[in-house]
Amino acid sequence: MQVKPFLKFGKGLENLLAFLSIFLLALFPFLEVIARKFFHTGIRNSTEYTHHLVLILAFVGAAITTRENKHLSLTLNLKFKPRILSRIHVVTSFLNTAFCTAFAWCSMSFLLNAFDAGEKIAIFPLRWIVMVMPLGYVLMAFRFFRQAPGGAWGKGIASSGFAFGTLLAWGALANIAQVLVPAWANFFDALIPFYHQIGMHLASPIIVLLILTALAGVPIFVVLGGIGYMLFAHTGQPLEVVANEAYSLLISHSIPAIPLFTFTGFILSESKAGERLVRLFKAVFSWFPGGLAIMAILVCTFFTTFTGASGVTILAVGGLLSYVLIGGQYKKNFSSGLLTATGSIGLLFPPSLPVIIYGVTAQTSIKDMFVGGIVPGIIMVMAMVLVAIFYASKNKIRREHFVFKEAYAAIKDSFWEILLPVIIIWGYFGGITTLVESGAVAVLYALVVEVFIHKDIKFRDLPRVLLKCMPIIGGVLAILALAKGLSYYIVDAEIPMQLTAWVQNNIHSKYIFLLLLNISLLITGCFMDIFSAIMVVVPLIIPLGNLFGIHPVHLGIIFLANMELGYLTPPVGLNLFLASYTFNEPLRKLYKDVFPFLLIQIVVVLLITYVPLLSTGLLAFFK
Amino acid sequence: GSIAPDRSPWNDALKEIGREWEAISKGLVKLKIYPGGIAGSEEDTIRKMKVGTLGGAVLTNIGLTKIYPDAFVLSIPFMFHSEKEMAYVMERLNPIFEKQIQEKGFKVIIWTMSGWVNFFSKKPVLYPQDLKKQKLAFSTGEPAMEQAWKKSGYHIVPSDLKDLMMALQSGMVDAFYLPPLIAGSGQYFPLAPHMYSLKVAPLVGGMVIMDKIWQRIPENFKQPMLDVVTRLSDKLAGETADLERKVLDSMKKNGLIIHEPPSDSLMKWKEAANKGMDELIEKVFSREIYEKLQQILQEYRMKNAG
Ligand code: NA
Ligand code: NA
Repeated sequence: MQVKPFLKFGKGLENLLAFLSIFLLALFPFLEVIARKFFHTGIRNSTEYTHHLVLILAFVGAAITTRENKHLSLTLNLKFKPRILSRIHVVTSFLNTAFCTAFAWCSMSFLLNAFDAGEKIAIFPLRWIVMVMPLGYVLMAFRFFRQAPGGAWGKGIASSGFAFGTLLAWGALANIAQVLVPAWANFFDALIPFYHQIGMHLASPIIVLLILTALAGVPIFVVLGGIGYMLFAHTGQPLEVVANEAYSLLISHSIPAIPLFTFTGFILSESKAGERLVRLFKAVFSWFPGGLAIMAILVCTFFTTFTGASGVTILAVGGLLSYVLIGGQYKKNFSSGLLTATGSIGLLFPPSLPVIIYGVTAQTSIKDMFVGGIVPGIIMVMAMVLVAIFYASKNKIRREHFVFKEAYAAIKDSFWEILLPVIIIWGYFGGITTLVESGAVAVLYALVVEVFIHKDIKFRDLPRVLLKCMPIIGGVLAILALAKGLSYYIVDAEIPMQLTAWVQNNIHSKYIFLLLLNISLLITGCFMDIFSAIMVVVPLIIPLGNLFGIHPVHLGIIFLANMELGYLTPPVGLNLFLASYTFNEPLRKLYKDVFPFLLIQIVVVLLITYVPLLSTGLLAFFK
Repeated sequence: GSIAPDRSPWNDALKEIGREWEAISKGLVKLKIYPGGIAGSEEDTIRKMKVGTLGGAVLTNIGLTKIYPDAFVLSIPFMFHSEKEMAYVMERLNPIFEKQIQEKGFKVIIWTMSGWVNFFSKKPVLYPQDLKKQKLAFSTGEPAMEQAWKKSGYHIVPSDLKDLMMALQSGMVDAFYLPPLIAGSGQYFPLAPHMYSLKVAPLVGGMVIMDKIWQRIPENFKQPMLDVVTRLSDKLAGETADLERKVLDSMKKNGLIIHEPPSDSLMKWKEAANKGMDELIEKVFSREIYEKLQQILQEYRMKNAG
């Protein structure tokens, strides 16, 4: 049988589907703006289209991410013998296959039970659209199985993951049978008590195994999804809820902005926008003490606001900035430390993704969150700028003369890129476009600028650019979707209520509470990435914030600022990993380089925590 | 699951129902309540009921429409003129609805009307053309309704309720329609201080339980359980009406201007709404139920005209 051409065709189809969904995702909201502005109407069903395009994009994206083996995981550098590593890898493949299989059955049952056969979006039956969920999981299960090492032996164990996953999803199978082949339902139902026993007894060991193997490379989405899944199984609840939570999250109101802004960020980072911005900020600031470093900070901030917490900033411009800084007499350790520490510094400015996700999860207005983040964000940037000025003065770093001609040329050169944030902020805060529409405008604008005006990216290169950002889009959406299940378990088990009751009885001072909050968030940031943390931790702190009368926006800014530090804290610090890779420096040395910057950022976070007015002052001004 | 916030009269009533049901059934029936939308939006809640995570829910008419689309006729704008008219219609339509909903696997515990939805706007609105000049926020999850408003000639901006404040501030929207109680408690009205007292649509809602679960409850408990709900819902209706009056008074003191509809305006609103009606008939609800509703309304108006 000819397998290869078939696989190649399938891969091409997958890419095409991803490509189409993101372009349509940009197109619908854009046309909606045009229709509303000029014709006072809108596109029929455009909201439902965009929501379900995100669903398709998420699952195609997650499948592609699995194919490219790029799911976000904790992967420490384990120093084991190759034989033992290979065994660990067999176990992780088994778990990945098993859970993706279980998720596949549950989402199949979910789509059959939650939607009627007649439900449609325009002419498309909803059940067929949602079919992307089980299909995506099946594809991922096969890919994880194929990645298992160790010849027949390893593959054999990994393949038993299909069977084990099916067993874990027995309840879902029974529900599927009830809809599709009622005659068989009795057979499945007969085994349900046995299956409940499995759920009861296996939950704790599997959860422990998931946490341990998380350190050995089981993707975060499997770990969090699996933990949520096993907790629901333990209490004997229907496991379709895991699929329902994923679906509900992915079709929520502001989520389409995530792929849109991420794609925008990649269009910029794949073009020569970075070089043009370096030239611009260099021309404008290099007469100033620490000018080059200030330039680097601003370029990083610019990129992070678009690429969000994806770490793309360091990959996209880290190398270039490091080259420019070292060329300008800055020492390598200072430059690596500065760039690593500022790789996530634009996190609080619009249109940053974590702020959007926080708003969605905490049910806080996203606009309020962005307004609240302005001053704290500026303080964070200014703190880094002061360090740069101090370092440059102390080390007597050469300053350049300001050359008007060069500045003018540089502004002209990067004019279109500088205009992008202006357009987004003007459109969004000026009440012309919604957040999602702003994202759509940003994608189309960036495409026009980089493909047609600067011609940095050729039209035929676009699929390559998209494929490069798929692991971020698919990977992040997969984490959010599956962490939502765990998040709902936490709510369902009334853990926030219990925690609140405990805090109410034991902590009486708001200031002690804030300090404990800082410490626990800092520890969370050491072990969790920002997306998982938002989904899992935010439901816990919201009632606590209410208890102590902390303004929801202030609480959000405290949370996000703490998580920003998490990028720099070992053992799990995304920026540390990426910087180690980009600057070709061992992690141990990078810890040392980053440490002084981390300390200063901690001071800023404390300032933000204890001076609420920094976060809430502008809110009043806006009203 | 309920979207009514904790510490609201609705949630207190739910808790009360939970206590009484437990007493009636001698501990067999226990309600665990998820207030304030923590179980998700209405659509989410319904999916959770279908897959068995939730046993029941308190829903508005938009949610009920997701289970049984014909229920949407109760939310058609400018269709009903008074509480009495509405009660007359519901008395005749509810049995049909409840039967259909039961076929979908849900048992309706109670289904009532609890007020009206009104327009709030930055500039006064009396006639449709006044509203057409302003941007109207649309936040309920019913795309066909959004299309119907657009077809009627209004400038619709889809927006999330939690972003309504900012949307009003930034000028993205100039008007919205909500029950006065929510407009007041959300503090939206200072930004859109003109309330139009014309009744846009009734606020209908109810409580449903999965039929599978209802069937498991012993027969002799069922009637007393339903009686408790009816009694508490009458009490709740009184409480919310009082609360609404209080909120309206305090809003007026804080600058709310209420505009009474001129006598010829209702005709104009209906005319405009009719333009969007073909977006709803056969797309959301059946023509049959729509005609049935018309017939009942005509019957009531004939009876009460003379
Ligand atoms: Na970043
Ligand atoms: Na960390």
